[in-house]
Amino acid sequence: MDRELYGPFVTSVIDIIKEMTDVEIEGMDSMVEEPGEIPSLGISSIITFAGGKKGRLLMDMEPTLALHMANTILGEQFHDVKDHMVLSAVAEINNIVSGNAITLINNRLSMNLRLAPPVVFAGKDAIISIPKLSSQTAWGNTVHGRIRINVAWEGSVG
Amino acid sequence: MHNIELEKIAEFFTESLSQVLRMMAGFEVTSIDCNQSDETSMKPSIMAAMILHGAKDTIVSLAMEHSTAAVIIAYMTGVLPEELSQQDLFDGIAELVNIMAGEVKTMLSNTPHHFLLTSPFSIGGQNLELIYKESLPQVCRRLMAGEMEIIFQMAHI
Amino acid sequence: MNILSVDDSAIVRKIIRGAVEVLDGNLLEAASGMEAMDVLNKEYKNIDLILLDWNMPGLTGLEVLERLKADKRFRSIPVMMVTTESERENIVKAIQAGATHYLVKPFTIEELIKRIMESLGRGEYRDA
Repeated sequence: MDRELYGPFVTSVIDIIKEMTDVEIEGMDSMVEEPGEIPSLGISSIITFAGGKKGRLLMDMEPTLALHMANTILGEQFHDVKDHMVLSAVAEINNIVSGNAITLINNRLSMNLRLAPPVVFAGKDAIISIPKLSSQTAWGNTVHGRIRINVAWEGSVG
Repeated sequence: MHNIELEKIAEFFTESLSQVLRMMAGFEVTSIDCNQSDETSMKPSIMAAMILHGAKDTIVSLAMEHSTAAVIIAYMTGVLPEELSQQDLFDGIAELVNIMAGEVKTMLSNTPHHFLLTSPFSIGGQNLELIYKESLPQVCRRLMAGEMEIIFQMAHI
Repeated sequence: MNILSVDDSAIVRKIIRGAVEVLDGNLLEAASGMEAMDVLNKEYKNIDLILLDWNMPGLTGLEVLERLKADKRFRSIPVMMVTTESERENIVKAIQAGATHYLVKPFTIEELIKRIMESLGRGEYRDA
């Protein structure tokens, strides 16, 4: 069950980002347990889901990658990663990635999950800490910067 | 955007937080609307938040300076502020959000505003910003105990 | 007296430690249900009370409680839930699963001490 609950997010982030922004993510082929604090790469977005089980996806990326993806999606040249439009684009990507993964999980496991809208946060040298959840991280590289996804489910998995 | 229902629910949260701080840390806090007070000079460097799943999904958050978090957690645990690690502070304010949200969840359990809790998360860093759509209803309160200040925010997302 | 606190929040464990020290007890700690099972496997003969959170990574408190009550080695150890879950339905679930006491956060340190004493069947604690 582990693979069925975590794997769809990896597949989804690779496919959706390629499809929406033509950016290839490389190296995102395994997930590792993430202990304690997570130092943010710069721009992070959290989306939670509830239903048959509760969980959340944290998508974290370097500002250069966030800017490139926003510029591609919106067809404009933004230079400030904290521009509301850039952060909205990051939120939207997370929303689509999560929606796609949740649909895969719902179809396979009949979990009746639904998403809440994403929340994006930015901050200098930000550190994220999520107690109460054990989580798995997958790292990826792109030519525009690094990205990672961190997936967590409440209760026992497997 | 002003929203009377959200304002009322926010009252439950701030009252619950006041009670948690009174019971567990011994602080009496006063609460005022952020819009009805002078702009704060406080620069939050630690924040905890929780997303609530309900008829309208909502985020609640608490933001404060590290020194405020350290004093609150010190009073809650009996451990000196200088002996608390960053992880203790993250953990402590996430627990504050968890307790506050747990109480309000029970208060609203048989009403149309009932919601499900999710796991709280904490963020530390400089110039922290949580971003959601600006046009959505949101509420902001400043909670003060002496020199200490906590910003409570709640928004439909 | 030996008390096992099972809570993923280090802060809550520190608060509980303060109360247990007032009672001259010894606190064992576990940050998850799986850690609790490890501690119990080694120490169950010495543990007088388990204080158990509900929402934790991995196994939930309720799942831990069900495992405890299904294992004859641990079954007789009293369990007090210490949690933010305060809806009647969940309290009933925990009691039905075998919890002997239920303490909802937030609590004062005095209340925690009193409830620990009650759970241990040691009567009322009076602050000196």
